[in-house]
Amino acid sequence: MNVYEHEGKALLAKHGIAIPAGILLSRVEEIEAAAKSLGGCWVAKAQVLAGNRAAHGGVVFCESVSDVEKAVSGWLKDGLNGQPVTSALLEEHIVSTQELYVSCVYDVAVHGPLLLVGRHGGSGIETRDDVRSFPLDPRDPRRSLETIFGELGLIAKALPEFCEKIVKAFFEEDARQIEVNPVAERADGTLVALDAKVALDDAVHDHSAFGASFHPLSGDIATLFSGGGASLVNMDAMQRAGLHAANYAEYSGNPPKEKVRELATLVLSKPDLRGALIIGGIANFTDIKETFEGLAEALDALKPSYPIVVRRAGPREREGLELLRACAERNGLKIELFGKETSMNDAVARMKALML
Amino acid sequence: MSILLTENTSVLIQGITGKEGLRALTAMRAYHTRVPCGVTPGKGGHVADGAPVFETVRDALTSFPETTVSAIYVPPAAAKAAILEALEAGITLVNVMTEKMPLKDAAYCLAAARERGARIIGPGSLGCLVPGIGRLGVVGGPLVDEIYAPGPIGVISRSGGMTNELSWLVRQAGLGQSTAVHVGGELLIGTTYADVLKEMEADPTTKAVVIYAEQGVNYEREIVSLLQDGGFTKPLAVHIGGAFAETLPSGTVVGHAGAIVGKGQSAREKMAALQDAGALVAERFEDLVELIHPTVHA
Repeated sequence: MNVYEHEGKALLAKHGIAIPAGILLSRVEEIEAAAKSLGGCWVAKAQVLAGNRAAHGGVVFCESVSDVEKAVSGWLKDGLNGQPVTSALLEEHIVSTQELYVSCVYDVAVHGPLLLVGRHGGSGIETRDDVRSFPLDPRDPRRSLETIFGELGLIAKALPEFCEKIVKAFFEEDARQIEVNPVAERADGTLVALDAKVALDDAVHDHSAFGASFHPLSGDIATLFSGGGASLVNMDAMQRAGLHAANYAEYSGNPPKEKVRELATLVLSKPDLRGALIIGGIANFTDIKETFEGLAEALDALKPSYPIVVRRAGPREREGLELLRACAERNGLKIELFGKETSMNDAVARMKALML
Repeated sequence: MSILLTENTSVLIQGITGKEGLRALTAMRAYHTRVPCGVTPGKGGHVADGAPVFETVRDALTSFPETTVSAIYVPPAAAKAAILEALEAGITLVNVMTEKMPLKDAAYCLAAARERGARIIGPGSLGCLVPGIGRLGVVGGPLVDEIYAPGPIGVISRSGGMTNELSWLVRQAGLGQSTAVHVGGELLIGTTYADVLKEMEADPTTKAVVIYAEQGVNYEREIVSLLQDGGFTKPLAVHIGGAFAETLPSGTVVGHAGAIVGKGQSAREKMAALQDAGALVAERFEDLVELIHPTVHA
């Protein structure tokens, strides 16, 4: 999961990395006092997770309190590039002699952690070809670092120590990525993290329920998919068929029926739905009967009037589909049930024909 | 011939006394695979569904020295210790079913396996299956005989459910599978598409390969390099799931941990690169086998 810049910077500061003095603002009334307390020149930064923030006007250099007020109150009132902004970070402006790039990330090409260092930080880093990459041994990252200390020291005297702290933060905080772009070198040789793009390892930090994921979307067809792969293939099939998903939802493994009921209720109770797709691949070990018991309970309570297409196979598939047939009958629901003889793509196409 | 497993493969299960471990025991036994024993620390001396349970992998190997494969069914926090224990005891093929293993633990174990020349399939992998020969893990579940039959098509998938779904497409086309491998959906995996392709290139039973891959972190680059270097010469068809995700914000994870939306790793970009390298690319998942079918009969 990605975290906001101010959260990422707090995490860096915890590991002894210098960050600019700053104040997080979430109300227009706080702006003036905050600006005066930081004094001089400022950098105002909208706190959003989307990339390309600077290109969308989310970073503004301010020379007066009114500049600050204009930028920050604009974001808090109108958002940025269509996204709501709930806070902005106001920081002292750091004067630098050079700007560098430092990042630590798990990279699939080296099957492990990688340290990336560039002599020229700032925007457009993706297209620069002078970023050096150093694979780190995950069993002893410090030793890997020591072998490149000399090389790093040639770029900036304080860079070896800076990288050491970044790598330490990366492992100790269970991060998936820490990118500092730019790193400012000041006249006295010290390095300051002017930005922080931090993504944490979901396996450690995401405590959401039982391996299910949910994203609200703006369409009118509710979706409940089983299996990560099946969810992607079906969302693609919907796009091809011109169907618009009201949400993305996926569960996998063998969740208890209560959890399926909870997720199904969330998905199926959205107002103004024109249909629902409940699709999974051929499960290896998910108990179709038990998971569909949860689904049937949700349907018993909601009794939706829109058409529903179900496609599923796997252990106890017959019992599971039979259970839904009985549920449809007692509630007068419009449900069509399919097994593995019908492809997922055809099930999606069927929804297109049935939808309200 | 077969890859990864033979008729004589003997597998031990770490975490054999847990619910998932017992299910894997049942699944492997039901599909021609010998599971002489298992390991659960604290439960040495017990018996799990007829299989003796040992305290450590080393103890298990003392009694069953012919065992070279371990299937790991332990919780995420215990996975690193279990994998390292297997590697240190001399196990050469480790299938890690455990999902949501911390990345730093996964990276640690992959480096340790690399150093020893051992293979890890996973983490987050339901295993692999060689039709008619054996099964490592739970791929296919109880419907295994409806979906799998010996044949010429190699199957590789990032998703457990789609391993079956793809194998079922193969079966519906009147063909069978040489081997089906679920490489796992995590960000870091020990055995990649390209690693399996190299095995399938050398395997005379495999005449063509189909792959279900996903948008997100880019293991497909390895396939592209392999094709460009002539390391894989048999017909290959690939589908990349998740084209829809291009509209989601960068950093969003959909389905699997490795399916992170980001620059240079969209379904469209990967499909274009694979096509340029000479792979057959299926726009729809359902077209994968149709693409490969004529090449098998030729």
